[in-house]
Amino acid sequence: METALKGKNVLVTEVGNPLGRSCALAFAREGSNLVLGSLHEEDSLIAVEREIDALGVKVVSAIYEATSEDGVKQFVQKGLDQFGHIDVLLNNMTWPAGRQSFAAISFDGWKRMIHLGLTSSLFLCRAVLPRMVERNWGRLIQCIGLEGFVGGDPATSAVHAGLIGLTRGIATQYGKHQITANCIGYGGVEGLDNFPGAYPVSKLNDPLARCGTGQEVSSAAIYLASEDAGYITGQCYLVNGGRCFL
Amino acid sequence: MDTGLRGKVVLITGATRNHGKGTALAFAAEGANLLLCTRKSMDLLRETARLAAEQGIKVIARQCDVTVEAQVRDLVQSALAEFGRIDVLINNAGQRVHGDVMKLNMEEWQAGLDVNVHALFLNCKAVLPGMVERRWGRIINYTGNSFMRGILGPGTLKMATLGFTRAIAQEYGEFNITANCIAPWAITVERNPGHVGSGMTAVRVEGQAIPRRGTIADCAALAVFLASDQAGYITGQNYSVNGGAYFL
Repeated sequence: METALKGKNVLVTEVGNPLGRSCALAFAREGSNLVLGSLHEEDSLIAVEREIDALGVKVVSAIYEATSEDGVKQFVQKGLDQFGHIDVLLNNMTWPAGRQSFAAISFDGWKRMIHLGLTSSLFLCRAVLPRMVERNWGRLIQCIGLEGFVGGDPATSAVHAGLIGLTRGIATQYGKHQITANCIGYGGVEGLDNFPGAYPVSKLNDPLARCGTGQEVSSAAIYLASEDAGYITGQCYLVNGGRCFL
Repeated sequence: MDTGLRGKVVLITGATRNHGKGTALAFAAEGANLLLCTRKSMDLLRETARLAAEQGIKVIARQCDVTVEAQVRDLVQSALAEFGRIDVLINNAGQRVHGDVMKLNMEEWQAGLDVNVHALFLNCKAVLPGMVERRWGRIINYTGNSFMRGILGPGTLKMATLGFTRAIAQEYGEFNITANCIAPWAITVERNPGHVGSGMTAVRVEGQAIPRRGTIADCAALAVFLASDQAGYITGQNYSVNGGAYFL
């Protein structure tokens, strides 16, 4: 499949987790240049940067501060300084962490999670959109988990479902600039969803009774970013082994 | 239909006009006692309370900013002192955030998050322990069709509401507590003077399956049903009241 992603500039967040890493590597294999970010996982960020570098594409990375719009802008600016523009935003605001019960979560903890997941994603979109509008081309892809559909960690459920609303809003507002916005709803990904308290594979109930791989999710991201996917917008493509249906 | 709501206690936020007021009156007609609140419009709230009390039920009307943790705690305490319980929570208070994503005012965004998302967290925190104790409860959150229509501000915030609702549904189902959303669309409501819509709210109802605007009562009836004993197996859902403008 000719994706026309060679030479495009792709920004991927949270490359420290298996999904972010898989996506970053998949775009690099398509010949895209990468801007990599993470909120705090510096070691894995550097490791992924090295892997990308070895694939012969240009790469820049940064630990960034997502609590303020300025922090997010500075991160994106680093990519803009290097490459001039961003073509694809792949926002992967996922952290493999234990599920917290509603009873246990504090109001401050809740607000912090909503801010980091939802408001900082809004900041990211705002930082990349102006150049996409100028160039009349862009792809925004939000990675979200099962929680928004079937419940789970309360903050994650709210954030991931909220990102669907944000995506549809941007799809509606920016379609006229040939910018598409979509979600990938992953589920059961090896290394992401198989921590204690997450969703174990159910041989009885899950159609594909196994974990998925980061690569199986990232190939959907590659497709949605490709030239051929230009008429797909505001959608949520599930890559979850059939664990839930939309 | 006997809804089993007689004598139950229902907390409704933003019960001054529109969905809040209509829902309050619908529950009063079922014989439920009410705890009503508003952030600032006490005159309107008292009027809702007066109309509801005509049904022979008990009503408490309180001023409360549901985005402030201490105020929510006080509000719920006042209901517990009077009624001893809260059985149904209706999160109706909302605030709209409109505009192009690049031009969103971040203070308005934060205010929208506070009322549409954070307040739900606080209200649920305050009422759920009692519901768990009694092994019965209903959480009903007003959303809308904005996220099906791609309206950015309300669509994002109300999708977050839906995600949170599903988390509550999953965590508390074992206690016979259900959590659902009501998604109105093209409902005739009173707006504040100078209200600025999304630009998409000038809905053309002619294309809908039911080519008319809906009423507050259409939505309040669904709230009553979702709170009833009969709806005990419905949870984590987002039910539209939209005249067939959009099919799931």
